[in-house]
Amino acid sequence: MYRTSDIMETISMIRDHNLDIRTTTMGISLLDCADSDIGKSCTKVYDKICRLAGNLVQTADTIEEKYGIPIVNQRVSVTPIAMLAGVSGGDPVLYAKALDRAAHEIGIDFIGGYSSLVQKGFAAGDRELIESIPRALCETELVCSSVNVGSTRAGINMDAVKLMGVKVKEAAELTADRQCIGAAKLVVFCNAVDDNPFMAGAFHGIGEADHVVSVGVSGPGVVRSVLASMPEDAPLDEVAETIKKTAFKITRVGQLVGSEAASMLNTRFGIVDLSLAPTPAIGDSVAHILEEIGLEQCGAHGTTAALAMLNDAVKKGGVMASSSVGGLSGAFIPVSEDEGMISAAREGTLSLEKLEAMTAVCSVGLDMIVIPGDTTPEVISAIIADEAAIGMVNSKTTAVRVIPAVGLKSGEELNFGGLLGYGPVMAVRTKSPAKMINRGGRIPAPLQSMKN
Amino acid sequence: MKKSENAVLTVVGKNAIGILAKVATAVADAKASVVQVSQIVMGDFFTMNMLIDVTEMECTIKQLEKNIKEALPLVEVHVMHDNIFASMHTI
Repeated sequence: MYRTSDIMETISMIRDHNLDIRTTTMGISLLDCADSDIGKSCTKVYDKICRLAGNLVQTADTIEEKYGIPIVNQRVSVTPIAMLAGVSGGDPVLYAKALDRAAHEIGIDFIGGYSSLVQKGFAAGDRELIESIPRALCETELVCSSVNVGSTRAGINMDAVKLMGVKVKEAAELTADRQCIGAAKLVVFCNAVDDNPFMAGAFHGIGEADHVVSVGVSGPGVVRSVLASMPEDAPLDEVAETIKKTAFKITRVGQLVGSEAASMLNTRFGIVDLSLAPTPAIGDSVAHILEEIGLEQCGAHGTTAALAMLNDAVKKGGVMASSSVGGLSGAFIPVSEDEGMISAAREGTLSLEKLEAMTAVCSVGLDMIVIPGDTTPEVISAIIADEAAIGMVNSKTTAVRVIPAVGLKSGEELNFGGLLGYGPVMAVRTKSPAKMINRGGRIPAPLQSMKN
Repeated sequence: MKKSENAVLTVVGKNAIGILAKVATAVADAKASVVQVSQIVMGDFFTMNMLIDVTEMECTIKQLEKNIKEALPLVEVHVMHDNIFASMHTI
């Protein structure tokens, strides 16, 4: 029998501090659906998703009922669609529509994989898919898109970076009547991972098995409450140790749910992604963890150091808890989805530059940041290039998901509703990087030795 | 033989006569069986942890929790599958 304190800790994590399974994501390979006839290809895509993931939602409900732990989202990630578009030719948006229909049919929240991997160059289908992204995101509801423009081994494809600046802006403009939601479903990556279960950047990598189930666990609220119960003067190594132990417990729950879901769905268990993923709900904020560590407000000097410690401790606890830790596993800092970040951005404590520095030490990158609607495509491309450079040099995943708020200026607010949250328009520098961006070409891969 | 499955049942709240009896009745009605109980009363405060075998239980864990809550509206009741505790608190 367990100790009463352990039992009460588990109960309070789930009931009081928002510990949840953020997502169960089924990754499905669509390579066997490729056909030179785009109509047939789309039919096969739809059928395969419905056949394999048809019970995903029901399975999650059953597990939720059995364990009493909320499973918030069910999602599907698929092989980057650019590969299928390369085989079939035709308008890639047809694939987006097939994915959207399948997602509605099986009742999931999002489907990811309207993607293209162009870190070194464009292959058949890549350019067509990227050109079609704004339209695909406008004409579908649940499809998410991502493009990998750089990697540590390949360098940065600046032609793709230039193109993505334009596409992000177009995605926002085409959906201007729906809070520019198109741009919120589009991520530009450097060093994208194959097994990420979190949207909007999830896709099913080509090295993965035919179908797997992965889970993303969350729990910023749990970490914050554990830190709140520590003495104010506890040294930082003790704080890190406490975060590590908490991350261990959270990951174990993810492992339990993931393996159970995989066995119920007759598929293999992929990975647990232990990411501290905030939601706009009160108490579910990464910024509040940093503030609990000892900052007056997130964005103050010291934020990068606190975040580096948090991110590392989370990974250490997670790796000990499961031999299948993967995905992005770290602390997410999506501004519009985090109550503490929203307040810090509103008050001007948190700037785009500070966020950029933070992305050098934590999971992912500039995420869910609302920027002025009149930001030029070149500036967006330059933001992407800066972020990709951080990822490339530091051998880590970085990403950009910025939302140009059409018609809004710095200081005004955009509200997406639901998990995507709301946020103030953050100022960007307006001096032009156009000459650099228009050069195009490639930033060569960085040296892997002499690291100083 | 079916692999046995357990659940952990906790009751916390103001002490009153018959809490344990009502919990045990609800557990028996659901065709679950008690494996282990620990109960402490400190002053007015009642706390109890019960490990129950739910392998043959005729309702879901959620339903059992609901039934006990209806029988004991004034105390806090939680019933959760043992796997959650085992995964979190054992290596």
